[in-house]
Amino acid sequence: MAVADDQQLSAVLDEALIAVGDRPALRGWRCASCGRLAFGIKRICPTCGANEGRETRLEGVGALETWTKVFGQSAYVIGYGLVGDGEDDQRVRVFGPVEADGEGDLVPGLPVEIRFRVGTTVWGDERVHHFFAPEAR
Amino acid sequence: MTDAYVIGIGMTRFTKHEADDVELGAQAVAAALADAGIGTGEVDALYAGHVHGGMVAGERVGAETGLAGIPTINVENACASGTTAVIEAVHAVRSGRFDCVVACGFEKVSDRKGMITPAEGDYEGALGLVFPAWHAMRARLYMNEFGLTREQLSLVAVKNRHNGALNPLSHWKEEVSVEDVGASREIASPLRLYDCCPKSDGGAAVVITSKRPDGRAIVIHGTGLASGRADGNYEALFEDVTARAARAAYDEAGIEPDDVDFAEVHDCFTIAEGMRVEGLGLAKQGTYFRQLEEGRWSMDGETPINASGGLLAKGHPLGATGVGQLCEVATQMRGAAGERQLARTKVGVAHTRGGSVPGTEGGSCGVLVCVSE
Repeated sequence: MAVADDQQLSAVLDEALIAVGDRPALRGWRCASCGRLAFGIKRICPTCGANEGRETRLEGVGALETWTKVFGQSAYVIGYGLVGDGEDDQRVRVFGPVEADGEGDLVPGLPVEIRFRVGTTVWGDERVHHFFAPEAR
Repeated sequence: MTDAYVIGIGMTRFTKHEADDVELGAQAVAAALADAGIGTGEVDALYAGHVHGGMVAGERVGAETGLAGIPTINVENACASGTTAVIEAVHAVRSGRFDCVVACGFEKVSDRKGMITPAEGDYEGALGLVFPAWHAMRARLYMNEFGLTREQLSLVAVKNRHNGALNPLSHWKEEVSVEDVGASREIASPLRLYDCCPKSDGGAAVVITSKRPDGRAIVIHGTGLASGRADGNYEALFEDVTARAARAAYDEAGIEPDDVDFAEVHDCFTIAEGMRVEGLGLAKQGTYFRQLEEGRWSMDGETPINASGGLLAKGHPLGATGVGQLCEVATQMRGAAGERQLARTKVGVAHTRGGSVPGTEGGSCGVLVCVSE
């Protein structure tokens, strides 16, 4: 897998989840009525039902909530991170691969940076996707 | 509004079968009709729960069992498909739309490679989420929050494999020890092979009618159906979707959790049984595993859970699972459970969870409250 550059982003971007701008970020959404933050663009607020909101960007550093190492044909680590858009202290739960060979350095609450790369999904297609890069402890 | 009575049950063994899903469904439907002692002409409609059955699989089962021509309703709600089919059947009978219906579930799972994943197109599934991992991550959270130990987790498998060894229709018939579970191969840390249910094939069916049978009556007094709330900050350590489905079923039945004598609970993984029993309100949050050590959930305990062996032992043929749970509840209420017969079977609960949806606490959940009268 390679770190995504602009050309790769335009080729295989999952536009439902990832916005580009100056740099890639996960798409967030804030309800105009209740202010609740969500992951992905919503037509209707999942919390209050209002249908107006604005897009925001989930980026930077989040906190690792939980994780597991999956022992399939090849072992890999995945987890849930709690991430925000920096506007207030709201965070939403986002699933993603965790860049870790093992689990020894992982602890609940570990800061993880949201990064992007080109990878092959389990369905076999190649796309840009996010992953969590743990900060060195 | 009339009541809905379970007058016939039938199921195949849940295991690896050579037969396909429609054949397994047909075997179960035929067995349920024979058990009810009614002819096909008395059946007004067929409800069919399945996940991978494809188009009009219910009609294909109907064509094999003399039920072709009647209204047939196919239901997909992931692992809760069968329970959802039953719930819809119950409401159709209660409302007077139909007098007598068959609700069935069937699935062929053993030929599907690898671990079960969310639906294609699901971003979590695309990036490597498999269902054992979903539960493993909740197990880790639960361990961190409530001090759950590896040994306590193993006790769920030990209990249910013991129960399953007494069930002739169980996928696994071998008991396991705490040491066996802890030594089984890693699947998704901290879960190991024996923390996971097998991929089973099978069919199950029930006959539901508005006519009260002579003698003992098994009544579905409560039904609850819920889906996961789309809130990215959902409480990951509490089965809210289970709690909401259960509350709906308890309210409809006019009972409280303390009234439940026994339950069949969707224990697709060891951690799942604990969190779901808590979600059902049978234990306070964070206390299930301590009470497991004390024997509360064993067959001779205060509230036996998964006397059938549950998904961990009896098996998990997706669409058939929930209907199979109802078959077990009815078997217990009839006093026909043989070596695994429970002492108190007045009020029984069947609980099924299904699927995952990103950003929500889960997919679907169905709960049935049955009362023996």
